[in-house]
Amino acid sequence: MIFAGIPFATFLTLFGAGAGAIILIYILRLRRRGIRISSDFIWRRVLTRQYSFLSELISLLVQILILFLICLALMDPRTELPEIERRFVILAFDTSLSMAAKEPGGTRLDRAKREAGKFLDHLGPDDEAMILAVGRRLNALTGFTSDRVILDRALKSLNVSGVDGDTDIALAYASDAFEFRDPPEGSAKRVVVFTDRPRPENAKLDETVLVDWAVIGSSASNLAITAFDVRQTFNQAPGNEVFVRVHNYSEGEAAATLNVYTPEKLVGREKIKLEPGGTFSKVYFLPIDVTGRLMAGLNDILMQRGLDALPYDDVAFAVLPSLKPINVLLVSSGNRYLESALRMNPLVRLRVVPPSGYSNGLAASNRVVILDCVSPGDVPAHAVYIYPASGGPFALAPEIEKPVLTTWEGGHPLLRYVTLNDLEIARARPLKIKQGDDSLIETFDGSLLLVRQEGRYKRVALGFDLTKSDLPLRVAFPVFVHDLIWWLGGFEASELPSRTPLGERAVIAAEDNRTELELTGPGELQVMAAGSDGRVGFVPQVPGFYEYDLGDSVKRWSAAALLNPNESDLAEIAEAGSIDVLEKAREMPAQRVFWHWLILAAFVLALIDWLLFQSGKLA
Amino acid sequence: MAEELFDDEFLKRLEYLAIVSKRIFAGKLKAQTRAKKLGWGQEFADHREYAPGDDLRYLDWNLYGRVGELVTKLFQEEENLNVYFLLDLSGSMDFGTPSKAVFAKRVAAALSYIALANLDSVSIVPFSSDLGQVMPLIRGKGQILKIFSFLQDAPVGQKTDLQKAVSSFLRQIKGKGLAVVISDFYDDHGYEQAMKALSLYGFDMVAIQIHHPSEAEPKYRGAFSFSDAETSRVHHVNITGRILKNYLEQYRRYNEDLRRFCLGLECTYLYTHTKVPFEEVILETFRYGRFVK
Repeated sequence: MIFAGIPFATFLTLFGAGAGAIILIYILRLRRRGIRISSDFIWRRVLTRQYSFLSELISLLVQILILFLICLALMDPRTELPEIERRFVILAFDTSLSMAAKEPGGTRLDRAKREAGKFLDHLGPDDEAMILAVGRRLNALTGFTSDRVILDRALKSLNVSGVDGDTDIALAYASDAFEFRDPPEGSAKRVVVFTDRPRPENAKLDETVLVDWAVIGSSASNLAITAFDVRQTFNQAPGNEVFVRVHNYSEGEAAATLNVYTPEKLVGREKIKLEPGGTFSKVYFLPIDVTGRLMAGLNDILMQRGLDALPYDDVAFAVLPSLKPINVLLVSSGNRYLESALRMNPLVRLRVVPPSGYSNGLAASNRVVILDCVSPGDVPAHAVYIYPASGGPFALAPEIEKPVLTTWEGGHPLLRYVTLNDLEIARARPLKIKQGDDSLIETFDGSLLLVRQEGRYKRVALGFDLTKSDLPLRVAFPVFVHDLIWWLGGFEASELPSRTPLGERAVIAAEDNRTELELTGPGELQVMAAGSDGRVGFVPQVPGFYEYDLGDSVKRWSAAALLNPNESDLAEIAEAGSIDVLEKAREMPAQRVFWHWLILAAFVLALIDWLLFQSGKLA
Repeated sequence: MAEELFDDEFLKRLEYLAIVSKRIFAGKLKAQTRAKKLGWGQEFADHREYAPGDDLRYLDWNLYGRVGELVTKLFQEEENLNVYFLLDLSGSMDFGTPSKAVFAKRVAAALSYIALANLDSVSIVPFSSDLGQVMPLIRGKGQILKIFSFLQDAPVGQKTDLQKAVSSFLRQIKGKGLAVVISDFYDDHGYEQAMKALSLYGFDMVAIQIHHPSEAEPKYRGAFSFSDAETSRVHHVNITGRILKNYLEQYRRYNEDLRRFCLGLECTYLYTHTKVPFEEVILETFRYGRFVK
């Protein structure tokens, strides 16, 4: 028996003072105020017990005993542990969404928390524990601490987020944490991973660290949306194709209603019935004018076996890109190839004017201005200078004949899917490269295609006359024109994924080159996206829409959905194993504390004392 | 003690009460001393069949002439009322200022004065554990000083035993009348048997229960040693609010039982305490109408 509370001297002081006070009160009570009453006739009916010096004495002793028990409780007596080493434990919790699967008694994470609480009960006062939340990213909720309040608070704060809890990272972190903490020589080091995943083969640290795998989870049925994709299509009419797939992860049949909808309209509704392991897929076409938020949801789910355990994959979210046509001004004396290529592009509303009809006011009403062999100077729009004349914004080298292309940047959006092999150019005027320019087509004499950013506007310069080359006759030409419109028209943003799987980085195109962007996620969750070069990103941890504003008071959204078969396949996880860590924990000698029993005993004695000696019936 | 008990102020009040009693009950005073007994008085009451030995003067000859039967006329026998004051002078009555005993003596003295003034006979019967020295029946207003003197000298103390006292009392007296029991009715032996016996012996009864205000509303809180004035028994008690509440409940119940018991015996019951002016008690007695008819 050891005492972990107040020191013995304090105990003696407290007990001595308290006992003295009790005895003093007892003596004072013995010297009662004498009162003469006419008759005890009525009083005898009320005071049913006669005064007894013995009972008073017993009451005094009981009170002193109560005081003794309280003082003893303050000393915090507990059993002495055998000479064992201190324990340093890291509790790592898989917080992937599959841990939110509902089971009897709560979610898997709830069970894990309870088991962890029992585990912590077995730790001694000198032992230390640390709690990690392991999702796609790792979050240390505490450092090594023996403060149970901090540990309990961390346990309480655990919540599911993200997918694919990376236990490898958790073990690596645990290894570093042990090294940093540097427990005393001979201390026991242990990592307990609470997860619904089977233990990987390589889940081990060095020999001094014991790694336990507490597998939480029982067999669970689940019906899940496993795919929800949007892609642009120009096959028949410009628009978006939406692909939805539903999978039955259970050993029985499943039925549900699949709804695909925007906030304004219902896109499709399907009554589906799936065999065990069955899949339902469907593609919807949405016209170009349907933009913004798109959702898919499973309702009225009926499972032949069990219940649908995971709610997170019953919904999916996506954002439809905006593909609204843009105004394009072609300033040309006449270029049939270029005009034709532009007119066939469904994203272009073309206006053609001769060079004499150009004005900056006219240019400002267009998003893109294509200047064919003219150079009007500063253009208030994105501009393409084809074979510019001297005096324009681009400096020109002397004209050359039959330039030889040495390289071109096929990875740049302007030259995507464009092949320039064996391009024949009769004459060209290479462009001089300034600092900040990107040269996309190089010759021995300079650049033939330059890209430049001037303030808000992008400038593209082509160093040769299209009509003096065979480019308009090649397949690459309409592709190149499309790339021009796509890039300058800002359609690149629509190429960003319509939704981001949880745990992956969601990218947002921010044309104002900002490096930070604040988003509001599901449940008013505030998320900060960061990045550079007009792209910012964040890693969504919860499915739903993340709303943001790029400063133009237009609401935009980024969507995140689970769409992860690994998380949705709960039945497979259930086969993994069972909890045996608690049993192991019990193998550790536990320290028994007694203070609460002492307080309880004191309370019971106080109650007895009051009932027998202090209540009104005692005379 | 004597001066405190019946001082001039007391005598003035007594005179006032005598006048008031006459004024209030003027219409009834003629018959004020009528007893229940039938006999040979002035006022016709009933007939009964003639029996040998009856006084022939009381034969109803008119009736004999009409129906031919011999019947004797009966008259209400006039008899003075005997008033017996059974005065509890046990130890429990020796409590408070003025003590319950003093208060009881004053009440007894006042009622005696009124009874004597009404030509009744009065006897003072003090008791505690047994019957004390009894003052025999006396008549006439001029005898009141004897009663004062007797009451002044009547000792207070010992335990209460109304039953034993009444038993002795009934053996000693011959006539019937009005028994006025003045007591706190704190009697371990119980008051029921004694009161029933008085009733069975044909006494009209008045019970005046006298308590001290501290008995009705004790204000003790904390640790005390209660000493019983009658038995000197000591109780070490810790008085709590709950105990006080229980006491009041028991007190109320005891008095209520006594009141109901008296009601059952057609006995006038009066409750008072020593802070009430004694003349109010006397007037209250008048109001109940039993004491003076």
